[in-house]
Amino acid sequence: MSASIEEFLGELADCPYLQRLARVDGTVRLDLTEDGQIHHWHITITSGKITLSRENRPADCVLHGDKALLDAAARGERNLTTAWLTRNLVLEGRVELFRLLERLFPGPPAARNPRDLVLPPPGGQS
Amino acid sequence: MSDLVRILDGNSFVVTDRRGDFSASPTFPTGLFSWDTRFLSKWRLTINGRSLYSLSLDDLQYYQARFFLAPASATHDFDSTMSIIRQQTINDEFEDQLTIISHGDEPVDLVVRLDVASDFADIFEIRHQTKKKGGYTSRIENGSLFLGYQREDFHREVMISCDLGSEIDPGNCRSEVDLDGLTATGRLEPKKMWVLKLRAAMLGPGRRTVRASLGGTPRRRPSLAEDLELWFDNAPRLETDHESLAGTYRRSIADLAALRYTPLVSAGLSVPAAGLPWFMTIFGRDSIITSFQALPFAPQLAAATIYTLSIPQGSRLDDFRDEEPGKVLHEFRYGESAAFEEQPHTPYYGSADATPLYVVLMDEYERWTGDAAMVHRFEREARAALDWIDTYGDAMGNGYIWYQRRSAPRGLQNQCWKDSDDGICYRDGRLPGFPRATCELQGYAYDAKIRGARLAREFWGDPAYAERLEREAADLKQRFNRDFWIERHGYYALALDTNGDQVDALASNIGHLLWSGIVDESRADQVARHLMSPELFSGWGVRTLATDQARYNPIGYHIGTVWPFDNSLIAWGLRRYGFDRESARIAIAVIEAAGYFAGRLPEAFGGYERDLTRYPVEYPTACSPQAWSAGATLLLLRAMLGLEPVGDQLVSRPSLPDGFDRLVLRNVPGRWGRKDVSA
Repeated sequence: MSASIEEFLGELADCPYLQRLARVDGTVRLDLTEDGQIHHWHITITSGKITLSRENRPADCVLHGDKALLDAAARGERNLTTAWLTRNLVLEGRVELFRLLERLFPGPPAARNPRDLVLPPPGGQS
Repeated sequence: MSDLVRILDGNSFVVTDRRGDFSASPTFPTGLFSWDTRFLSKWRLTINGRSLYSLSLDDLQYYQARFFLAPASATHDFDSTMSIIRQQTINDEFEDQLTIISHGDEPVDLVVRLDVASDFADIFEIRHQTKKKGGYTSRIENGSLFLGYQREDFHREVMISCDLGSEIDPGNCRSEVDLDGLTATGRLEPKKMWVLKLRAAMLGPGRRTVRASLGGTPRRRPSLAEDLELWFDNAPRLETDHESLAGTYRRSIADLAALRYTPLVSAGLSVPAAGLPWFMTIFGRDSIITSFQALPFAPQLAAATIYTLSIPQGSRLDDFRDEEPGKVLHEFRYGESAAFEEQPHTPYYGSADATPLYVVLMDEYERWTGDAAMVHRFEREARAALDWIDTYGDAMGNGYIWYQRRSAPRGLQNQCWKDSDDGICYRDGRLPGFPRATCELQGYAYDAKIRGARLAREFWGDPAYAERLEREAADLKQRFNRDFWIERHGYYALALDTNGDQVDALASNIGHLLWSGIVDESRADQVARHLMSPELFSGWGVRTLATDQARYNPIGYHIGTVWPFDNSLIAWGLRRYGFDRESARIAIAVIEAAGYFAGRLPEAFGGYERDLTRYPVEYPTACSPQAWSAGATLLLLRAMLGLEPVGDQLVSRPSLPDGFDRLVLRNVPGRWGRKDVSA
C-alpha cells in the first residue's frame, strides 16, 4: 500500500499495462493544496499506460482538493467518490477519466474477503 | 396512490395531486425531486384566496401533465366565471404554466398566489426519517426566491421565479416574491386570457445545475417531444385485435422512454432507471433485466447498460459498500446520505445476481444485434465478472454463489431480487442463517458460463477458456441437480443454507431456473406443474411464494405478491423447455391484469386468487412506472411469438394464448436489419 499520492502515482506509472484504463485516452491534472501551496500532477493516459509530469498544463479533467485527502485515498482511508459528491474534491472536465482513475485506488485496509466471514483465513492472512 | 400525478425526466420527477399541487407527505414522496434530493416539498396555488377545483386531467407525455381547473367556490363546488389550464413540464427545470381564462362580462382583478417550501429531504430520509444535519437558507435576489440547503460543501438550491407573459398590459400586472412564495396580480379583461409561467430551477453549488456542478457535460439531445417521437418511430409496431395488449404495449414503450436516465458517465447513452418514485437511478439488476427484456424492441438500452456498468465495476474489497473485484454494482445515488456515507450507495454492490447477469446480457445483446465490437470492447469486464462467480461470489468455496453482507447495518441482508428481509425462508417460515445460496443465482451462474464460453470461442479467440467454462457449467448443473432438488416435493429448493441443507420453500425462483437452462430435462415437467399449480398460479400470474408456505401473505412484498417481471422470465423459461401452453397462459394472465392498470403494470400486485377478487389488487407502495414491469410486456410478447435470433436470421415460432386471432410485430430490429413477424 502506498503512503502518499506521489508514491501511489509512481507505482501506477511503473505498471506496464493498466487494463482498466485500456479503453480511454486522455489527461488528468491533480491540483493539490498543501500549506497554502498548490502541487500539480499531470497524468497522461495512453493505451493503458500512464505517464506523469509535475507541469501545470491543461488537461481533459482537472481535480482540485487537499493533498491530505489524496494521500489518505492512496492509503485506502478515504473514498474519492464521496469526496467528489461532498465537493472535498472538485472536478472540472471529463468525469469518465476521474471515475476510471478512482477505481485504481485501494479499498479500506481493514476490508474483508467474503470468505473471511465463513472460513478460517488461510495462514491467518486475509 | 392513483390520485397522484407523476411526471419525470431522467432522475428528476414531480409527484402532485390532481390539481398540480403538492405538500410533503411523511411517507410517500410527493414533491419535486432531482438527483435523489427533494428540491420542493410544497407547491400550492390559490387564486383570489381560493384553492382550485380539478375538473379534468391530461397525462400528456411522461414529462408533461395538463390540469383543467376552476377556483373552488364557497360550497366546494367550482366557480364557472373563470377556468385555468395548468400545464406542468419537467425538463432541466420545472415549469408550471398557468393559462387563466375569463368567462365573465366584467374585468376581474386576480391575485395568483404560490406558496412554496423545501425540506431538501434525501430520498432515503423519506423512507427512514432522520434529522437534517445541515442548515437552510432563503433569500430574494433579482425578483427570484432562492431556497437552499447547505451541509459543509454539499449545497442544493432551488430558484423560484415568475414570468408574467405578454397577454396583460405590463402596467396592469406585477409579481412580488417573499420568503414563502410569490404573488402575481393582474387585471383580466372580459373574455381574455392570461398566460404566466412559474418556474423552479434545481441547482447545485455555484448556481449551476447539479449535473454541471459534478463536472458532467450537458446532455445533448433533441427536445423531449422530438426525442419521444423518434423513440416511438424506432420501436417495432404491434398490430393486434387484443385491446388490452395493444394499450399495454404502447404504455410499456412510453414508460421505458420515460425511465431512460443518462448517467454522468455513459457517453450520452441512456440506461433504464429502475422505477418511480423510489428507484430513479441506475440499478445493476433492474437495468440489466430491463435491457434483456427490451432487446427485440430497443437494443440500444442494452448497449448503454453494458457500458455504464463497466466503469464502476468492483475493483477492490470494501466492506461498507459490499464491494469485491469484478462485482457489478447494485445501486448508485447522488443524495446527501450517500455523499456523507450514511448510506453505502457510492456505489453499493450488494447484489449477487447482477454480475452473472451482466455476462448473460452481453451475450444476448450480440446474438440479437451482431455487434461484435461491444463483445471485444468489454472483454475485460466480462472476464472479471466470470472470475467473480468462482472467487468472491463463492464465499463458501464449494462451487455455488453465496451472499452475506459485510455492510451492517445499512447493507442488504438478501442480495438476490427478493431482497426484503423475509424474502428467503423455509416452508415452515424459519429464516436461514448466512451466507445463503439462492437457487436462481446458480442458474444465472450456469447461464453466464455457457454464454461466456460462446463469447470466448467466437470473439476472444480463447478456446481453452471456453472449454474450461463449459466444463465448469456442466459440473455446476450436475451438482445443482443433486444438491437443490427436493425429491419428496418434486421441485428445487429456494436456497441452500450455511450447513448445505435445503431451504425448502416453494417459490417462483424455480421458474428462473428454466430461463437459465440449469434444469435437467427429466425434471422440467415437475417444475412446470408446480408453477401452474393453484398454490403458485393465482390466475393473474405466478406468486412469489406458494400459498401453502408458512410465510405466504398475498400482500407480502416477496412472499406472495405477483411480480410481472418475474412472470415474464418464467414464461420465457417455460418456452425454452417446450411448455408453450403454460407460457401462453402466464402471458395472457399478466396482460389481462395490465388492463386493470390502464396498461401500466405496477412493480407487483396482490397474490389473491383471481376468482376471489376478480381484479388484481395493487400492492400498496408499489413503484409505478417500473422499468422491468414495462419490460415484462416486451418479454411476454417475445415468448408468445417465440422470437429467437438463429445465425443471422430472426426465427419466430408463435404460440398464442386462446382469444388471439392475430399478432403482428413489424420492424423488429436486429442483425437482420428490420423484419416483420406475425402469428
